[in-house]
Amino acid sequence: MTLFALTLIFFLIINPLGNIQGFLSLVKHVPTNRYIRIVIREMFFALILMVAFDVLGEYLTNILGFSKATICLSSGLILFLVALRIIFPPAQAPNGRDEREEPFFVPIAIPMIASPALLATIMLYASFEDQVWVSLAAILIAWFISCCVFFVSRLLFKGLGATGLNACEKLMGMVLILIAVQRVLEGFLIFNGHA
Amino acid sequence: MTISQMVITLFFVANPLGSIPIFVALLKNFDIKRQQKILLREAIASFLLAVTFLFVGKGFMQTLHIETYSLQICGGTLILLVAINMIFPPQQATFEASKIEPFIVPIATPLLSGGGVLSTVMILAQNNPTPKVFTSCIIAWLIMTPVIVFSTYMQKLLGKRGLEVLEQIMGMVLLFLALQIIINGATQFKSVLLAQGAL
Repeated sequence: MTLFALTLIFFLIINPLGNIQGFLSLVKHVPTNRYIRIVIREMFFALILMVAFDVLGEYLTNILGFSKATICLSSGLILFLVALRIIFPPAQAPNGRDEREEPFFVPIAIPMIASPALLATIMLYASFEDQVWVSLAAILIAWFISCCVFFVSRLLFKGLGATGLNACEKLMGMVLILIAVQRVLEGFLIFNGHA
Repeated sequence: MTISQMVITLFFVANPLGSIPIFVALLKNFDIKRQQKILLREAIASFLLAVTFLFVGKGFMQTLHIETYSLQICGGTLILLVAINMIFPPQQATFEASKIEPFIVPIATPLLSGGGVLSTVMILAQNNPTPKVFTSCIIAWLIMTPVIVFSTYMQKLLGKRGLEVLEQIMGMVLLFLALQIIINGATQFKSVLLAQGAL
């Protein structure tokens, strides 16, 4: 797996373009300078979690003894389910939060940015990669690009509108689901090769 | 390949005529004006997707190591999910939920510009000069778009009861279609497995 492909996968799962609308509704009452601080703070929480799970993933296969085919199939399956939720979003539950309250850690850092699916994927990919730096670099690059997207989220929302953002999200979901299917099939190939 | 041959190929792979009852069934909760707007938008979206694939498809697939059989199996699986949803509509289909417009998925892709069309466009682009393929894409969609948009008048012929029956039947047809696409992809995948040996 190349650095580019890995970065793209992480970026697509973080799904900053799809999260913009939810994010903006949470920080509706926050002035701009405060808002940038919130983005930085929440993104750092998310980064710490992502790196932690990346390191954890390195040891996971050694301890549990997963085969390469298992990792390929299961990460493909998780990606598939994540992409499915992006393509066919479930009906949204009304959120009972007080919107005047400033978001802290929950729900922006987790589960919006560092979603359980992202952490699971990071863990699985980290254990698949021979060199540690590849997955770390991919995480950092994807994280940095997502940061930039969140910084300009108000502008993006004005520029693209809800429909434009929705279209971007759907297309990104399609790319993700393609990667997922390819990965599952690669899992079969590996399984077949070692049978 | 001449332009007219390419136009015909694209038209039959995209199969707008066969998909008309499916569109009508999918959009049965909207009035005709709205349906036409949705279908026009989806037709344009599918055209843009096909043209994008014409120019960057090969590079995109190569950088991400995606094979054509994955494209087929992926599209087939998505259509399968839509079909299951049509045959067994979710129980808590509240009034609000049924008013959610289908956007890009599933009409623009994978129904119109699915794996079949995208891989066809890519193969055409490999064997023919790009401007020629581009022209044939434009002509194919110029023929297809009115066919799709005016398909909404079928609703008048069927009535409300007829539409409900149609949704179930089209769900079944869509299920067959989905499995056929998956099997097409799986056949290609099988030859890769066989080439690898040990099957």
